[in-house]
Amino acid sequence: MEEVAAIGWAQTVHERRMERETPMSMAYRVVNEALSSCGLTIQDIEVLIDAGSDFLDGRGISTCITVDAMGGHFKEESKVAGDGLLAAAYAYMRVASGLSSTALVVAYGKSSESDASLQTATMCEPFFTRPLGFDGAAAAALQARSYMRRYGVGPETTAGVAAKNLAAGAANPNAQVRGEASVEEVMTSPVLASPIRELEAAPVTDGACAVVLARGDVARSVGVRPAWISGVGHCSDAYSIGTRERHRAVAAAGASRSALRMAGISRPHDQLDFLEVSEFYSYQELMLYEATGLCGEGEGADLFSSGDTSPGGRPAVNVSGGALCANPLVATGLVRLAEAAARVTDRAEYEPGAKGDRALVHGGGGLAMQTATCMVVER
Amino acid sequence: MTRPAAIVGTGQTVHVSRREDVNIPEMVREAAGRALEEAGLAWKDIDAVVAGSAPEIFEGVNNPENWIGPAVGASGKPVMRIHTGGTAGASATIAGYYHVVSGLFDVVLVVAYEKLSDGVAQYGLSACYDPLWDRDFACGAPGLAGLQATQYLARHAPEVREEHGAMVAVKNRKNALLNPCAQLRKEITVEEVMASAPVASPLKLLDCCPTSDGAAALVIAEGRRARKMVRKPAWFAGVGACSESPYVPHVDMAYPESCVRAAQQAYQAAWVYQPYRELDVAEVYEAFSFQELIWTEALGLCRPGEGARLVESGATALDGEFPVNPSGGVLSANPIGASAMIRQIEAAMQVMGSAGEHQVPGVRKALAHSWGGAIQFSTVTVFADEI
Repeated sequence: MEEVAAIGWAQTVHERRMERETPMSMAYRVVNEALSSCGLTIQDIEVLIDAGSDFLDGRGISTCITVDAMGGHFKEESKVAGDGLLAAAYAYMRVASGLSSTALVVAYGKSSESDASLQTATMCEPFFTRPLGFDGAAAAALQARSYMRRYGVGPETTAGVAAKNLAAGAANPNAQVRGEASVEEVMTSPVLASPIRELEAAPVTDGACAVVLARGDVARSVGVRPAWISGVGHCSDAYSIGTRERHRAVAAAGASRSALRMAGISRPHDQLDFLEVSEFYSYQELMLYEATGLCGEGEGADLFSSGDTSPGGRPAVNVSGGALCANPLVATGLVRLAEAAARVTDRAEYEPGAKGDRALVHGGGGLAMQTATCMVVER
Repeated sequence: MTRPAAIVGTGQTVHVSRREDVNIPEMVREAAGRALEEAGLAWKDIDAVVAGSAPEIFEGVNNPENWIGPAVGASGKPVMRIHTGGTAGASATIAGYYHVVSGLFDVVLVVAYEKLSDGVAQYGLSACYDPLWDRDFACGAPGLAGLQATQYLARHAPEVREEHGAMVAVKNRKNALLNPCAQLRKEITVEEVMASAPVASPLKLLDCCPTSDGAAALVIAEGRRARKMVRKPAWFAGVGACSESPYVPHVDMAYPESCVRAAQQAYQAAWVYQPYRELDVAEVYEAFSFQELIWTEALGLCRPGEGARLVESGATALDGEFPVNPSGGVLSANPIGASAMIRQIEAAMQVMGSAGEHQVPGVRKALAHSWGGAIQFSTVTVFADEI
C-alpha cells in the first residue's frame, strides 16, 4: 500500500446564499486555488473524484455539467454520492493502490436553492416514513432525546457545545456564522425540533472545497509540507431510526475505529492533538466524542465540561467552528480535512486556534448520522 | 506491484418492465444473494459494499445507498455509492476494484439497480439537462442518441444505412432468447425494425432499449482469496475510464474520444495490442442500436465506418468470429443504473464459463464497455482467465 498525503486544499468563504455563484464557478475556483496551493496544475492530476448531490443541484447526474469546471475533461473521473470526505476516502484508495500518483477531490453544495426540510425528507423511506413529514431535523431530535435522556445530558450542555463552536468560528474567516452567542442565547433561541434549538443546528450554506492527494514520492517532491493520511475508514448504520441504537453514533464509531487502528492509535484522547468533526447539531459533537473513543459511553458531557475539547484544550474539537458555523452540505466533511491538514502542516491562512501534529477528521451523512467517514492526518 | 483482484460471483434479477412484488432494497438483495451464493459466501463475509445507481430522480429517493446498504448486510459496514449516470454500475465495480487493490478490503460486494417503473424514465433523463439553458427543449435520451446516430450516418453514408442499425437490433434480440435474465425475448426482423414507429429520427422504436426494473451484483476478492473461492475467477486485467465535457463545440459523438481513451487505458493495462484478435467477446452498452456500431469502432475492434460491415457479415453474431453482446445487450433489458454492471457481469460470466446457453466457447479475455451522461463518460473493463 502506497503512502498518501494531502498536499493542497482550498475552500470558499462559506455564505448563506451565493447569488453570483453556480456550482461550476464554485468548483472551478476551489480547484484552481487547491492546485496553486501545492504548485501543481490540472495537467498533473491523474484522477478526479467528486462529490455532489443531484437532489441539491436539482438535476440528474449533475456532474454532466460540473465535470469540466472541475478539470475532468479527458480525465479518469468518478462521482461519489454523499459527503466529500467519503469521496476523499475513494481518492485515497486510488492513490494507495499505486495505480495513480495524484488525485483531486472536489465537493460542492448550494443548499440555498432548496428547502432543507424537503431536501432531507427525500432521504426517508418513501412509503411509510416520508408521508409522516419526517425530515433531517426530526430524525436528529429523536436521536438527541434518546441520547440525552439515557445519559442525563441537560440542555445547558448541548447549548454549551454550540456556544463553544460559535465562539471558535468567530475567528475563522471562511466561516459563515461569525457571531458569538452565550449559552443563555442558545438556550432561548427558537425550538427547531425539540430538544434542538435553532442555534444548535448547522446553518444552510453555499460553499465548496477541493483537496489534492498525492502518493508519497510526489508529496515529498512538490515543495510544500504534506499532511500525511495515516488512517482511513468509513461505515454505515441501520437505515430505520427505529431499529438503531439511537444513543450511539454507530457509523462514526466504526469509521473512526478503522482509521485509528490503521494509524496505530489506541488511546485517542492522549494521542490526538485535535479533531474536526461534522456536528450538524450540537448534541452530535458529544456523541462523536464517545464514538471516536475520546471518552467512554455516556461521558461526552463530562469531557465537554472538563474543557479538554475547547480551544486551548487538548484534544480541542472543532476549533474551526465546525459544521455549526458553516455547513456546505456535501463539502462539509471535506472542509474538515482541509482545516485539519492546514493545522498539522502550519499552513493555516489564519491564526489557527489549535495546532498539533495529529488530528482525526470526521464527515457524516444520512439521517441522524447514519453514515460516517474518518481520517487521521499527521504532520 | 498492485495486488490482483477478480470477480468470484455474479447475480442478476430477471429483468422485467415492472416488479410489483418487491421494493428497491428487496430487489437488490435478490441479485446480491445470487452473487454471494455463486461465490460460496455468506453476508457476514463481506468487508464493504459499493452501490451504483443512475439519477436518484428516477425513483425519488435521495441517498438510496442508505436504504439499500442494510438490506445487503451492510449495517455496521462501509458503504459507498458511485453515481456517474449510465456508467454508474461499471463505475461502482471499478470503485469496488480499487477498494480491493488499495489493500483496504479483501472481499467487496458491488450492487447496482434501477426500478424505472417507480417513475417516468424520460422525465428523469430530461432532468439531467441544464435547468436554465437546456431543459426547456430537453427530450430525454433518445433525442441525444438520435443526434448521435444522425452524425454517424452522415459521416459514413452511403455504405452505412439505417438498416445496419436494424441488424444490430435483430442480432441482439435473437441472442436475448438464450438469456434467462433478458426482458425482451422475442425475435424481430429487419423489416419490423424499419417499419416500427419513429422515436427520434433516425431511431425507431425497435432501435431503442426498453425501460426495466432490475438489479445486478458481483463479488470482488483479492487474488489469494479469489483462487480459493472459485475454480475460475474473472480477473481484472485492465480498467479504464474517461470523462469529457459535453460543451465542447467539436464533440464527436460518432467516435467519442472518452471511449477511445478509456479503451486505450484498459488495453495498456491488459497488454492488449490488437483488440479484435486478442479479445474473444465484448459486451457493449448499446441503449440504441446504432451505438453498437459506434462502440465497436471507438473500442478499436474495427476501423471507423466498419462497424456496419461487422454486423452485416455476421462477425458479431453469437456464432461469429467476434461475438458482441451475446447476452442480448441493453436493447434487451435496461435497468439503467445496473446496465453498465450487467455488461461487466456478462463479460465476466463468459470468462468464468458460466454464461449458460449464450456462452461463447473458449473465452479467455472479455471486454465490457459502458457510456453515461451526455455521451461523455466511458468505462472499459477487460477480464481475463489468468493474471
